[in-house]
Amino acid sequence: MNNPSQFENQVRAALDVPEPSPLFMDSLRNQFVSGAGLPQKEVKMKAKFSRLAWGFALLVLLLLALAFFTSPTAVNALRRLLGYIPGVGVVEPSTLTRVLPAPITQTRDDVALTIQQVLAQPDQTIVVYRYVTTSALLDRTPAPNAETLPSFTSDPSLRLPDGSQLKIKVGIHQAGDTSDAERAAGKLAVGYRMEFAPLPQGVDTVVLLLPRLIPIAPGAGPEFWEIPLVLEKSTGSALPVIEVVSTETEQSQPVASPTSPDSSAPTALPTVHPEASFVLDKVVPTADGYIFLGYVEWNLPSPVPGAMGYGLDPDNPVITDATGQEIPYDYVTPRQADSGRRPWGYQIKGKNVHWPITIKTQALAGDINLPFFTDAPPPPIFEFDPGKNPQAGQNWTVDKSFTIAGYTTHVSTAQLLQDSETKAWYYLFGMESPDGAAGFSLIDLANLDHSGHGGGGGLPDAGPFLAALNYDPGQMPSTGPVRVGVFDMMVVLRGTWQVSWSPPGQ
Amino acid sequence: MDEPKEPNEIEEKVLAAAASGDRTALAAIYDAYARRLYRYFYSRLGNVADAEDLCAQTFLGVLEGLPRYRHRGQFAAWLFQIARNKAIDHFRRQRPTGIVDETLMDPQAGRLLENVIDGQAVEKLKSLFRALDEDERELLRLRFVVDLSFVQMAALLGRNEDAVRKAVQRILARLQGQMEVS
Repeated sequence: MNNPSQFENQVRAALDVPEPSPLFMDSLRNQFVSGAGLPQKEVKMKAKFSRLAWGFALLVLLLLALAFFTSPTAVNALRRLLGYIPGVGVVEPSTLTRVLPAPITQTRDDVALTIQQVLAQPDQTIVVYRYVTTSALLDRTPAPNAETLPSFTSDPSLRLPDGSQLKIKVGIHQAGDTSDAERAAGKLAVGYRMEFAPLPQGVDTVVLLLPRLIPIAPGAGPEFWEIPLVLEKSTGSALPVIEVVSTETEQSQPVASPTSPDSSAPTALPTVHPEASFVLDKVVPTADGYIFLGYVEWNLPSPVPGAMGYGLDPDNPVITDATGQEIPYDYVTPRQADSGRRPWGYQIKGKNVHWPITIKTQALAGDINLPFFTDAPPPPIFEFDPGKNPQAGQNWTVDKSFTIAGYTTHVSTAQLLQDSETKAWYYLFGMESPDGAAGFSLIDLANLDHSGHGGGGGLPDAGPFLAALNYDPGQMPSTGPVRVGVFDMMVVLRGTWQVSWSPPGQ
Repeated sequence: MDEPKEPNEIEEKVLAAAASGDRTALAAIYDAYARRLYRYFYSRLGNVADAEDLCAQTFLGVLEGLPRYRHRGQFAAWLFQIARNKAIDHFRRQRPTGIVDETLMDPQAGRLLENVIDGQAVEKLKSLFRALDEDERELLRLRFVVDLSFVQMAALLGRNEDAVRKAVQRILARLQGQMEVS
């Protein structure tokens, strides 16, 4: 029999994972260190003025909605504004000053590298590449004396005609989408997207310098790629985006469409759900299928107008055709999330579909960042009295309920515990919410400087859960009555949300 | 079992400086946790692209949350709570089968460490891990991939530290028993 430390070493070995790419780590470090865009003052301000901001946003939305539903030209205008570029997402074609007119492929040894997209925009330059190789090459370990070339920096860059270089700002792995033919040939595909600073005006010719292809180990495969790129004025090569007029449905409450602003625009049964809207707002026909883009909007009730962030995500949605047959799909990186509106995106392969398709989810999982950091402490959500001399391990029956944002939670028990290592004290509360609250971050309102986060719960299968109220090591826990506040919560909305869609003319 | 050492302990004054945008302080946080965060996500998701994406999302969450963070000596637990939420969000957005790109699966995982350990035992352990439920795998991941201490794990999971320690010991004992049977 192994001794425990030997066995733990085996466990560590079995669980071991690859180290991150140095390029990624450096890139993310630069973003994190320089991207401190939310200093305390700004966040406080955001909370303070959020009521006004939300009011204004609501007004703007109402005006937009009014224009949208009363003017067919608005729909057509929107349709012309947007395009979809694989590997990049939804863009405004008008911002594309220059693009790569066609993919460029170079093949060396076991690697076929294709530069798929180059998009020059006023504020950035995007380059997307994909390469196909063998798993054996990806498995190779770094060469002991990896070569270096003085003309290459360690990171990808764009060399301009005057010899200067734009260094990579952000690099993101993307699914390589290995085709069946590639897989059958024992090949694998890797995708990568890079962002650089904008190209200077008048520069249409650059050289892409890739010291190596990630994640091939240094010295393990062909390196030092130099790929000349000649960009041309964009001619609107982005895939057309179909703006969907109104597609939200909720199975239990179907109502008729209130209006049809554009007879050519696809529609589906719209309904109003009291808590959340599941919306399909864009469809992108691709060469071999469709991409569906939408969002979940949370129609939160009034108790949390100052929430500093909140959103709902579909839980394990299913796509079916008109016969009820399930359609496999891939996840597509959606657009940037807005507070209260979380985007989603799914891609299906195949054009021969029994229309309409339906995208359905039976739970939405949400999180609310409550406006804790305001000038005044939040009100207590519940109190309990552990007495004047609580002891480690002691249990109490709390039997209190509280409601936040319409979610009622029952606190059944409390227990005082002490961490055996740090000696820090914490109260552990047993909770359950019939409404779907699933976790809380708690704070002792009488001890703001020395108590803090905790929490628990489980999404999406919310049931009874535990939430901890921690105290600093060396800090005694409050004695009764203890006023407990909350600054973050997680919830699950249950129901059936679905959207249906057919292509125009179907 | 030996307690993993706390990673470069982040002092309260560093966190306060980071919350106000101090770059040196932010760099200290990043350097202390970035690698472990990445390893955590890779262990859960099994591919580089998603691990990198969620790592970036988590650090964005840290930037957003730092001004509200109140130091309780458990910064790691706070940070990994954000990470766990990101992972949960990720799985919610995907079908159960996911879209893990096998091109990126495990290209060089643990090769060096494996070479000095009994390779067959490691392979057997990997198959046993797959039979564990997700809660059990998460405990082992937090302990042996991320190297969280039991104190940090307890704070993160909202559980008693002793209970976490015993749960890990129980899983290890069961795995060890299964190894011996086989």
